[in-house]
Amino acid sequence: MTVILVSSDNQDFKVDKEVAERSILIKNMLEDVGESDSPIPLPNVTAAVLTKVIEYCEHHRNDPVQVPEETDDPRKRSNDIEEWDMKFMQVDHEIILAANYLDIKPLLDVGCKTVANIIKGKTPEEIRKAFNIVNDFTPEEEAQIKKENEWAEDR
Amino acid sequence: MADSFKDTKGKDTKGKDTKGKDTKDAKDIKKSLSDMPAEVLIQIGLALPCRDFGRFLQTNRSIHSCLDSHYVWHQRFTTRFGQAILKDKLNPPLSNNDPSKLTPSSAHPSPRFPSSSSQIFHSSSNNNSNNNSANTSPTLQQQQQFDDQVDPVSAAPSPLPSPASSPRMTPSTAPLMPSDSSSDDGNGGEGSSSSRAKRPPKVKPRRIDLRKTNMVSKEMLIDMYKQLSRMTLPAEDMMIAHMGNQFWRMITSTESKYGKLAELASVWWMDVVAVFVGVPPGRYKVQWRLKVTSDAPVVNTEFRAVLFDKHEDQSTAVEKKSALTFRPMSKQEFVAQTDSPGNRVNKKPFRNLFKGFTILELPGELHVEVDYQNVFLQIRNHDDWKSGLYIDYVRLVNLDDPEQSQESLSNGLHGKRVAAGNEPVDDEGEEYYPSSSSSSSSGPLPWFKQVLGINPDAGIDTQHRFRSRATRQFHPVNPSDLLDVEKGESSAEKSESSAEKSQLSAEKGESPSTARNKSNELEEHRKPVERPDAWYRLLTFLFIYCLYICFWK
Repeated sequence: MTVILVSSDNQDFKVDKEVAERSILIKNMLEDVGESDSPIPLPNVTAAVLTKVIEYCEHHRNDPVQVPEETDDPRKRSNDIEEWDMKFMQVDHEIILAANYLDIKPLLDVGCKTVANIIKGKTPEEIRKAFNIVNDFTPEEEAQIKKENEWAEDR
Repeated sequence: MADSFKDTKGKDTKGKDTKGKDTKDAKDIKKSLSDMPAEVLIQIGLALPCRDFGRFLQTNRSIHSCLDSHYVWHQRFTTRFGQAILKDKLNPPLSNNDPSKLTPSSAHPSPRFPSSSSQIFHSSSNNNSNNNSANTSPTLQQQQQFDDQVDPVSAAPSPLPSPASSPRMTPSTAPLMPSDSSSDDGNGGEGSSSSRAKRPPKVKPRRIDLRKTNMVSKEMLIDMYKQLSRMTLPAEDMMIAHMGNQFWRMITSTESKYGKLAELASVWWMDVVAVFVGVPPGRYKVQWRLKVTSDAPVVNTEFRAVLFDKHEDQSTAVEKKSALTFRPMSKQEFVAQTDSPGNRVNKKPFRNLFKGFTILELPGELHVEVDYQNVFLQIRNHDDWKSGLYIDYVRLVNLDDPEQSQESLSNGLHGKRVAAGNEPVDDEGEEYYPSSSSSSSSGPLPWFKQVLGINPDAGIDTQHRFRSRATRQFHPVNPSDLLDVEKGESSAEKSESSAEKSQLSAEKGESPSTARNKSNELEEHRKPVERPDAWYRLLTFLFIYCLYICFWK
């Protein structure tokens, strides 16, 4: 069974229901809509991003659905990302936003871990530069926060 | 991906917006990590190791406000150390009169920035395109559920969408429960301050309830995290059997940056245990900082490391198979694993091999796989009396961390070994090894050497052989006198001496004087064997002397 997803720029995407239901948001919408074939609008996701999200869901369509309560899963805690996922994430941070909106936890995890891997090993200034973060601390506040978190340097 | 966060005005972005240039500019301006929804930032923060998390907090006000919350610290804590450690703190005792078990390290929580919270909520509310308040993400739902369950007072309805900072921002208008008032700290919760203004100040220390999501409980969590995440454990925090009486004692010392050392006076059952919890995955080297004045506490002592999981009890680690084990059977073997150059191990008194404290690095690497694990380190020797050991600390050196890996003896300190001390030896109670060159020049009977396994010249620099103090102290015995007795075995020993002659002649840098002395020595029949301990040698020497007296007198 196929469902039709409509992006914010009015582009239609036909995907299998099984693939679409990787998104909890879409799954809940489908349950609410029932057997109707009406397209599902996604006003917060552009066509380009939706294409990539669908590509991800297609690739991982056979992965077991992660239960949110399984917080002790070591695989979740490790920062090992599949090679395919790593290449996939070299695209756009909007995928993370889309994954958050569509509630696709595995994709969100991969995205967040990718960002975390980029942050690793960088000083605060380098992190700001890499992610276009504005330093809105005063020098005194910055010095104080640095002192508060000094202990973490060797942990 | 980092590039996508930069200004992309000149690029043909993938997210083409047909609504006009203004929207596109707004989108470009928004492409900053700090503009991400709170739940996304929290996920990123939880995926970061401790050091990088600390650095990430320093980047921006909104990121700091979002991530430096009770919820995030609690998640980080339980991920790394497990929930079991918090069990006692989350189930406080029934009586309210119990003295507090833990108080925050600082009397007052560090000042926060009240304006930052309003900023983050403005930014997150503007980012509604991705954060539909009607359909909150599981992370936010969990956080709100957590807050509601543990602190119903502080979970009062807030006009602000993100509950990430709700414990701090939400004014508590509901009257405080009596149990809360006795257990809550005076600084806990901005909302409680107005209702508590008229209360008389309490004298006895307050018990901190980790179920509350207020500033004080958060500070307590952070303090506990700091304590448990240490990669260096001082002697004070180790479990040493027989500590506190005449066997082991803690002494204050300026030689340690922690100010205290564990001093071994004398003990039979030596058992020192250090436990690291929540060690991140990676490869580690185990280093002990010790001061040894005698080889007894280290030779034939087992230094071991065992890995066990968060849910396993520490007592099971004692019997588990060691991930790393090191049991030096000789002084050389011990010294080889330290930062001492190890010259003249058998010539110098043991303590002179080290310049004060030494770093003992266990051979091999400790591999922590996949998930956080606990590391159980032990020094144990349950045989014979031993004394002369000081323990400063033990630490784990992360070989995967470029900043730390240089600390390993196999990496950074290799080649920079600390020169041994040359201070005069106080022989009272210290082990002293008389030079074997005296016995070599005096020519102990070869069959004694063969039977008892004495190698007078093992490990001795040939250039300094005859300059040792022992040479000056002992009168050399004429080898020819002894050789008369050995005539029956000379044929076998001649072959050995020829082998040794070729070996000695192959050594470079020998002076003519030493060459002459060497030629004298080559007349003796020696067989290089391993050197026994001091008291064996002393007995041997006495026995030889008695024989000498018997035969020649």
